[in-house]
Amino acid sequence: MTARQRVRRTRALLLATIVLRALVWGAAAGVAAIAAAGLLDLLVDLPRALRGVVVPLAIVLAIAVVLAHLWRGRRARSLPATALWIEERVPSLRYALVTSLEQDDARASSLLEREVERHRWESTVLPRALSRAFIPPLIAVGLATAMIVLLPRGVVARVRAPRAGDAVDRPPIARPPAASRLTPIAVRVVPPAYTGLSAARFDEPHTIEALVGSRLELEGRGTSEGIVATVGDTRFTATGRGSRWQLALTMPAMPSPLILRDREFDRLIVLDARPDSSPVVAIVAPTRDTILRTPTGRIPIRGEARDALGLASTWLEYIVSSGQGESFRFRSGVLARRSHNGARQATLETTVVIDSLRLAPGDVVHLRLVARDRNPARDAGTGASETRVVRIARVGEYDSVAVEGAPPPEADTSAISQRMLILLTEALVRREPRLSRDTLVRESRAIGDDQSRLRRRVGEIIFSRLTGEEGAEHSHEEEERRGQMTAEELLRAAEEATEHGAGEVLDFAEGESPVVAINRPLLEAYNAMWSAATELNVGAPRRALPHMYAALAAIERARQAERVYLRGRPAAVVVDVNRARLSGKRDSLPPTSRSPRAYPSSAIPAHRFARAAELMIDDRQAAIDSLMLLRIEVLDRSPSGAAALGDVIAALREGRTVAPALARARNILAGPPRSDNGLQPWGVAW
Amino acid sequence: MREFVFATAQYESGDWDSAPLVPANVIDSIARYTSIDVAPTGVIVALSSRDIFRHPMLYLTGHLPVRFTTAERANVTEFVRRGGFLFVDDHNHDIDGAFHKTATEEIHRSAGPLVELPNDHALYRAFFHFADGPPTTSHELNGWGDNLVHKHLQGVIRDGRVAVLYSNKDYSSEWGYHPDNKRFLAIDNTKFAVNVVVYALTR
Repeated sequence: MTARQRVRRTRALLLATIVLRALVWGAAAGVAAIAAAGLLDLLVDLPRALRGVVVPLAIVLAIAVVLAHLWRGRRARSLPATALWIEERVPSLRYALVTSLEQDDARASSLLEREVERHRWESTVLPRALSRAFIPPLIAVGLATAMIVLLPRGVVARVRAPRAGDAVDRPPIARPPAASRLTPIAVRVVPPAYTGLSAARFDEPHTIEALVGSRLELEGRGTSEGIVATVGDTRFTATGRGSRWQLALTMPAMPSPLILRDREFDRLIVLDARPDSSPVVAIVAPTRDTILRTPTGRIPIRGEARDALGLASTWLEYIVSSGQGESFRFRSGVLARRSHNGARQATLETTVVIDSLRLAPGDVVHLRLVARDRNPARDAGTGASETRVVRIARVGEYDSVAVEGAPPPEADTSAISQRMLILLTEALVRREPRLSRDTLVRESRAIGDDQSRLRRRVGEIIFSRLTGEEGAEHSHEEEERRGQMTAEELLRAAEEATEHGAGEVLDFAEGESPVVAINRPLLEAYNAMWSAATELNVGAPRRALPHMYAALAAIERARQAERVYLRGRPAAVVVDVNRARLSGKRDSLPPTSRSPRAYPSSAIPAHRFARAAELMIDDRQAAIDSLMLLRIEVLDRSPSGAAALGDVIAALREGRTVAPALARARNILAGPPRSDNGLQPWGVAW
Repeated sequence: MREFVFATAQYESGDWDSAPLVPANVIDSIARYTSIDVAPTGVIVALSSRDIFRHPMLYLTGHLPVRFTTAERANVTEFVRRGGFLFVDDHNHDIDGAFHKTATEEIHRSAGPLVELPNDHALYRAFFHFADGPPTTSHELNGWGDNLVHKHLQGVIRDGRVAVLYSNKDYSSEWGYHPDNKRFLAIDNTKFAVNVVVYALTR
């Protein structure tokens, strides 16, 4: 092996040593950084966010140390530098090695090779140098590792993998035996299995927000002896596990205070129970209730359902009510049941075939969409849409069922015709100066004939109402005679025709018979039309117009009269209270004494809020506890008030100025200013 | 102090006006037996309107299914929370009928779970003393409806008081006659209505 080859081999060994030593130094730096952070966390409780960056920083530090060492050993890549390094450690070479690397002359080179050949630095210098190179970093690694090993259990884990709920993993330093075991605590919240949510851990919670029914696992340091928790009237006793105490309870249905006690120490935690809301279901189609004339057809149903934790199933529910009065029968059933396997949203579409429900006139079908979430509780987790009602009309109701278009009412037809006649007559009057007498009379008579036809139509209406038969005025003579009658004379004739005497049928207002009361406007129109037709037939359209206007006005009044509902709501029974009091019956049941009623109030007691505010001056913790209890009370009735109280509590805990938060909470809880209009209604404060 | 006004709840679904004579009959009994300042006629209030909060007690009945709208349900929840008293009577008198099923479901959703009231409950001593609990009705005894004589009434309890009173006994039929006809009865069968009203106003 030539000198060059031997130097190259040595260089390779040196480079490997430099790399390895750099890595060991890097590892030592990383481990030392973690150990130092653990030691610092032991002395000062480091926040979780800060502990979260320890490992990345340690890695960065290790890489930096490795790079620094590699940089320092970069010269080893050069053969002359390696040769000089060897010459430095083997002086007897007297630069023969360096010279041999630079020598190109073959004869001189062989002399130098022989000189170098006499020195075996691979077996003498190199092992010693290499071993010396590794000792310091290995010692550093050993010390750092020893520090980690010597740190109390759990400290390194808090630094290496910080997580929520590791507050209890931090061992206390010089903790007095009499200290409270209620700090620190960690809580693990396990939501109900049906939610599919994963468990979560919290450190030092002041408020635990969780679904009703969640399992709460509290953990603290120290023995379990004497540690109890109270929620409402229920008491829980801690159990021990190693050097820790543990408590397990279930989230109650209502917001409640959890009071932990350890000898003379206590601690208050708000259990903010969040009920699992039912699925929200909306029916999109049909948009409103409806009445069907016949029980046939198909009704498309469409709706939407959603649930924060996932839907289990949806279906369409129907109830068919049959009967009337005091006798009803019911059928119910379910259609289009579908499973959704935990989907958060679902669209529901189905069609109800009315024929398949075998409905009869008068039956009522109540339709609604129902969705159920995955909550297994029997009476929970079901949401329903609004109900759509489909009713089958009875035969007697057909006149109130708008199924087919109806012709315009008779009075309307007459009024339109009368207006047209007036327009024609007015136009004729305007043209009158330009017309010859013959033309005027001819056109006026044409209008008069139309007026007479309309008058006969009105007459038919009047007589069909009175007798139930149409065409009561057929005879021209009779027509002539009726045309000359006054309204009263015509009425008398009509009443004679119906064989009813005035006033004997019903007791109408102002002493009028029903015949007069109902038909007077049309009779006035009838007479006015007669006068108008007479004037038109003699060629006097100007004189006819006032009668035509009177006829139109009378028809208008008749139209208004048609809109009067003769049926009304049944008269309400008005109890004569005084008479009832004077005739009160007494029998075997004696009255018992009455007790005064408590005055319920929905407002937050102002004095309690004020008392809590006063406590802030002397006893901050007591003020916090009072505010927390107040917050529990308002959690479900005033979420904004609860949030404002939460801000006050947070400000107190963190030592911030509480005045703005306190003022905000007071404004929200006191509500807007109210005026009192005097005494309250019966026994209730609203 | 304003007078007590008997209010009948009007809801969107069903036949809320199936017992139009009950209010007058109850008002008559209140006037006969108590010194409560009572209005001579009752009123009808839409369950979806804010008007219900003007009344300490609401009477709700019917034969047909009861399905509250969103506004009605929210109002009932608020009404009960504010300390109102809701008296629901199954006019259909049918334990497995549509009114019972749907009304109890709606009560549960809007006010809370129904529990059986013990027959020595304060309700039965609020004015007259009913030692055996709720008085039976002729509709129970003559076999109409579900053929059962119900031993108990049910209620939703809030802060130790009955907030919603639910009856399967069909008092709506039992009390559904003109108050003038009360003189033909040997024993006034509306006395329990007095207890219900007095309880609602004093607890």
